[in-house]
Amino acid sequence: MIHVRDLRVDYDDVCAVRDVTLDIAPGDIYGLVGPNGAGKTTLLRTLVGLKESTYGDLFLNGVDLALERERAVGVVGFMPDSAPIYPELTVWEYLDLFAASYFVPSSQRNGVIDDCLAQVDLAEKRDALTAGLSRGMRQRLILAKTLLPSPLILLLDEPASGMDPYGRAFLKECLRALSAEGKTVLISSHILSDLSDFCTSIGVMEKGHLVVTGGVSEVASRVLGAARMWAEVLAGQDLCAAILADDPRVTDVQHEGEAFTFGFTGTKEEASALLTALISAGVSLASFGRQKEDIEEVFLRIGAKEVS
Amino acid sequence: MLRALVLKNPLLIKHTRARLRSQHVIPLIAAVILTCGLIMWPMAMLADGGSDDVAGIFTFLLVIQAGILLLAGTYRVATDVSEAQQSLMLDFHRISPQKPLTITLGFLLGSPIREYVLFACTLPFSLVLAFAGGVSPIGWFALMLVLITTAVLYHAAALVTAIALPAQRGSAVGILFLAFILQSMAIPAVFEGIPLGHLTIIPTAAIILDPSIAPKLLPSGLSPSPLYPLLLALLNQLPLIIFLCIAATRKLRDDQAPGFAKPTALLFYAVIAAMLAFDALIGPRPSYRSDNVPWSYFSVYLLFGAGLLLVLTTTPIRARFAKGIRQARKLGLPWVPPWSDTAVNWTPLPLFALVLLVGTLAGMFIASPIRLFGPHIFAGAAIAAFTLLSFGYAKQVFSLAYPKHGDSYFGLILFLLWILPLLAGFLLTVFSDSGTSPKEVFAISPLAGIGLAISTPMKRSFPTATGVAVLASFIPALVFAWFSLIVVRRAEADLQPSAEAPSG
Repeated sequence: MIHVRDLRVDYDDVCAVRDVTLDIAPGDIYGLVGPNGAGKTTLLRTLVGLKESTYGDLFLNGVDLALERERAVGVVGFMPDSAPIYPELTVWEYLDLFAASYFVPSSQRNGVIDDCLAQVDLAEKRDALTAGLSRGMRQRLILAKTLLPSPLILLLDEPASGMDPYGRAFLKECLRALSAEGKTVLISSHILSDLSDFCTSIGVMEKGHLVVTGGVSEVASRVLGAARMWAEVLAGQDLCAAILADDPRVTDVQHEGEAFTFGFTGTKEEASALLTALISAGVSLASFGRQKEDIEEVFLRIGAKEVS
Repeated sequence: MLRALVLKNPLLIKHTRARLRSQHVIPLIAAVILTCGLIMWPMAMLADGGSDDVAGIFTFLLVIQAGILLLAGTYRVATDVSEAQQSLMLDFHRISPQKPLTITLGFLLGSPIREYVLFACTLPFSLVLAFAGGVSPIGWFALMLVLITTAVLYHAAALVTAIALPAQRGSAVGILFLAFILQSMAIPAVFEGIPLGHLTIIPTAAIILDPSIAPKLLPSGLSPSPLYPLLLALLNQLPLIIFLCIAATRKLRDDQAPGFAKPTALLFYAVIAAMLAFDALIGPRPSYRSDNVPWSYFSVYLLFGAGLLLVLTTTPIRARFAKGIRQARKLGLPWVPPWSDTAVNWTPLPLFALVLLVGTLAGMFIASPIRLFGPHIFAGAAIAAFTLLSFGYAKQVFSLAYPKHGDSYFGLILFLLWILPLLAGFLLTVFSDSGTSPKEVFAISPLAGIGLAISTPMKRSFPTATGVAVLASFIPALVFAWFSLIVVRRAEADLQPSAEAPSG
């Protein structure tokens, strides 16, 4: 859905994005992480056609941005980190402005706007002036505006900034629902725990480079090494420890009470075989599973730092 | 087309909603109507209905109308666009499927919509006063139309300035200041045959309100029809409005692009030159000019100043130049296309100088009696053209050689070449015993050299001051052209893939 090849973007004498290659499939939620000044916002603004690339190829839904900018950008919804509004307009008028801008037929506009407002839980503010909305509500209004033309690709730059915990939880659900509809989401955020909950892929940017990119598990295993697994053992703890110690794919076994945690370099099928072996040997297990990959850990391991 | 651009323009509808809310606009309409009623009160009191007094009241109302449309409207456009630029709202419009021209017209016609409504409220009063004051209906119509086109011109200037200079409100103040200066200059300008007068409503108002002035302002042989000043105003204003809209549309498509592409800038310059020549052709009768000297000076300097601005616009900074080189390399091109925004200004620069030379000569030939046209005029035009060349080459040199401090160094060079000789000449004049001014010293600065050359006819010998001025403009042009060649080659070498150090 999003294909970027050898992208370079310059600001005066500063190279903001350098030789970035990136592929994001339909339905993916791609998290872009990196410190301030890493080039995330520049990459997003370039993808939406607001910043001209120095060189490189950008394809959105198969359309070359350089050759057919309007068609390529036509499938994209962009939400910047600030929440630009026209304070003198009501919420409905604001959305109507953009519905008209995106050529939504006037006969359908009321319905489309009401649907979007319901989607972001702002229906009760329909006739309120946008100037009176809180920061979180403005973010949701911008999200509604972004969803209005029903874009196939969503580019969200720090969408959760300024949102309260309820707003963040709401945003996550909203993005999951959009992903389930087959929409592609590229989201940049500093709040790494937010991303780890729902991103299917991540990329870490540093000094304009995309340092690492791929599926969350893939990136985590590449950066962190073995995946972390746990087992809650009710009986047969010594036996469990012996089996784990014998398995060459198991590393760094930690044992505290009934809880075992360990690194595992095998595939999912091999993890399943390990579980079967433990049960067959008579180990009594209350739970067994793979720990969720921690994007924050990935980010810190890569060593990204604040870039001034 | 018109429907999409105007009637169904989302931004125009947005401005109509936001700025014409009844709770805001009704008190203003009431205030305007009340003010107009108060202005008309003295007319009703006039026992004999003296048309001169009524014309005075009509003029007073015209000033109020101009205040609403020209000042308040211009301020509104500048602040609206600045705020949209600052809040990144313009980005939302840029990425929408709306055409940039639609967005341009949305701001141009939409931002001052309240001012247009208030202006419309004054029209019935204005018409009654015009009728009572002896102004013909056609004259009244022409005057109102010129007021509107003048407002659109200022609004378009405010729009472009606000997009190009995002400093909030600063651009509005700047444009209002320029509008005020322009209006103030209009009366003497029109009488002296200096261009720009028709960029204001002053000449149209003067001719329509006092037809006895018309023979002084119109070419001989033309009847003082009120449609004539209207035509002149439209011919002067419409090209500028069109080119300002082109610049705004381009900046709305890509805010980092220069306002004009190189060919458009050159075309704009040619149009300005043609307008100045046209103004010379249709200017006041020769008997009202003192041998065309004001026109000569002013038009040459005006064309020269416009050339400097357009050359600045079309000279790429190092980052843009580097982008062009990298793009060309990626596309396998041997060099950057010369008319591209990212190309050095070598191709358009001589053409700008040529337009300046030809435009000045044509304008002066049309305006001057044949006895006043001679080689000194050519020398003045050549000095202006050489100076434009040296300015363009120097700007390119400092932009490429010193990406961070280039503008400061460039300013220093301009100070040394253009201002210092004037200061030196001034000091020498003040401290000389005879009190005579050393023309040769002044002539080193092209700012004075152009005027000195034009005002010093060559009878049998070549005036020394003119010679100094020609050399002082020609040598820097040659030097900076040479430096430009070296600096561009060096910058290209620095941008070779092997020479590019990774940046952080």
